[in-house]
Amino acid sequence: MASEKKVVFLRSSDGEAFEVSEEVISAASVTIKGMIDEESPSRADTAATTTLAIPNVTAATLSRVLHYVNKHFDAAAVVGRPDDYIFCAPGDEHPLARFDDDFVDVDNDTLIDLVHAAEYLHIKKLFDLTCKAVADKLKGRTIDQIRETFGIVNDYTVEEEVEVYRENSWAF
Amino acid sequence: MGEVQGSPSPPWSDLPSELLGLVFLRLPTRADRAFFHAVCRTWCSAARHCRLPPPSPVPWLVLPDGSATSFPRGETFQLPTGMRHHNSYGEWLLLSRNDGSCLLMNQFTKATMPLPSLSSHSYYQEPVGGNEDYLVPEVRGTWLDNKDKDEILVTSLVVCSTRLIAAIVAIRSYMRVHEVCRFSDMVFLQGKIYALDRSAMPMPGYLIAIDIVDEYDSEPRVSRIECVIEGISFPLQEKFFWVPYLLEFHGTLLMVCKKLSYKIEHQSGNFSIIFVAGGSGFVVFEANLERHLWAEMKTLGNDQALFLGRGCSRAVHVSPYDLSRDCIFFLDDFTGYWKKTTTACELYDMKDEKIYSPLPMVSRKSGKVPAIWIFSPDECDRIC
Repeated sequence: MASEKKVVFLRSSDGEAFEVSEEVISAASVTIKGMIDEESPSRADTAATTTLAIPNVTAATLSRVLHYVNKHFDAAAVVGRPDDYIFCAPGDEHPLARFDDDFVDVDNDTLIDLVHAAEYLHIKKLFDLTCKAVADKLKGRTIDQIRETFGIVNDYTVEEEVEVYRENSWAF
Repeated sequence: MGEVQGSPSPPWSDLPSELLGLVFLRLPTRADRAFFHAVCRTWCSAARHCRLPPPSPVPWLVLPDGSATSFPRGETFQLPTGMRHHNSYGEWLLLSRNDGSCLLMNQFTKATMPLPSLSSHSYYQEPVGGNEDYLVPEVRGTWLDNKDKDEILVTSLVVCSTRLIAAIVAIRSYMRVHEVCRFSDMVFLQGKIYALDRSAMPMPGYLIAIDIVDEYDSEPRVSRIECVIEGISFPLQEKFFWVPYLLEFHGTLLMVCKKLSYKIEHQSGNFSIIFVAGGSGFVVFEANLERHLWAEMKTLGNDQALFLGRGCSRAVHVSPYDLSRDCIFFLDDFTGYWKKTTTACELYDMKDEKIYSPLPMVSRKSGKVPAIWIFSPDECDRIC
């Protein structure tokens, strides 16, 4: 039965092609499922495999994304509850929580590439995971530390900055 | 390998506003969210425009003067004139009229339940398990706020069924400032009343279970009283006074201990304890009834907030994106002790162990009924 599994090829912005199970990637990515559905009438009668162009994602990022997708969406690989565990309480270990922690333990630029890829490919779980990872990088830091970490130029005057902070520090 | 591979990642300040907003929503604490605004204009604008989840419902706060406000919606209502409120249970308010009679009123449906006068209460017919201490002493007091008479305080109220309402009643002597009562808080859970017994002070957490037989063909009666947890074995610091609250949480019991700082004032030979308004910290315990102990909890999970008030505490479901998750909202609810007259509703965030004051200050005179929570039917349904 494994031999019957259909595969598709994804071509990154820099021209590298990656093979992935059609079933797995369709379950993971709303965008790619849409592309496959569009293609399917024309490929029903041919044995040729489909190659889809992913113009917004580089090979380095795409290979990471597919690693994630294969871990999370391959039915044989998914153990336990495949539901949303992003907010698992500490100690309430999801089988893939460790994998996820390691997956987003990357430098800022790689992380932001993953956020963009997850958004473009419409992979909700990965998008949630990466957004949360970005939030974790901001968590507990001072304003100056955040600016330094992310290379952001302060465009406030001192008075404005104090005012904006004061205004928002009692938010409900 | 294509030649575009080296194209730089977009700078962080140029992230799409919508995406920044989603990151913002995942920041766990108030401090983090305030900092986010102050990083740069782009981030500030993203945070302002991100689609916040609808704010979690906050219970109504009934102030000592009888006015009630909902936060953050800001709707208000006023209790009927000639009525005083004493405590609440969910959506029910315990009210008394000027003639001393009392009733329960559902503030949202306007349904009422008459209550017998306290002076006509019945004693237990027989001593239970030899624990004569638990017999109800005769209640002599008045609902009226009269300086020369003892005053009745209902420090906790539980509607067990349409014909059984349990209350912890304390008498505040006009001779003394403070009230004395053995029990501090109670919860009705799976047919039993659980109450915190203060006699084991200073260590809180002595929990008793009162079995109730409430069959339709006879008067409800107490069949058994037993101690189920003998108090905490957790070393609480001695310099503080610990105020315990008992509430239901996911079908079990939580005890939340509020840490109060105090000072002792000497005045012409007498001394009195003056509490400093506000709380300085909280410890949350979950009851393990099988092993007869309290286990400390560091988090409520991702979708719960606690509202603490004297005899009216509840757990409420909130969105995982809501800042209120893992927060304990609390009131200055000790009567009689306060030196200052302005008190607040504040919150303790278990995520960063800090205290915040997101709600306006509540002005009241010392010695009156404290502010209390009531929970609209919507919230009551969502209470676990």
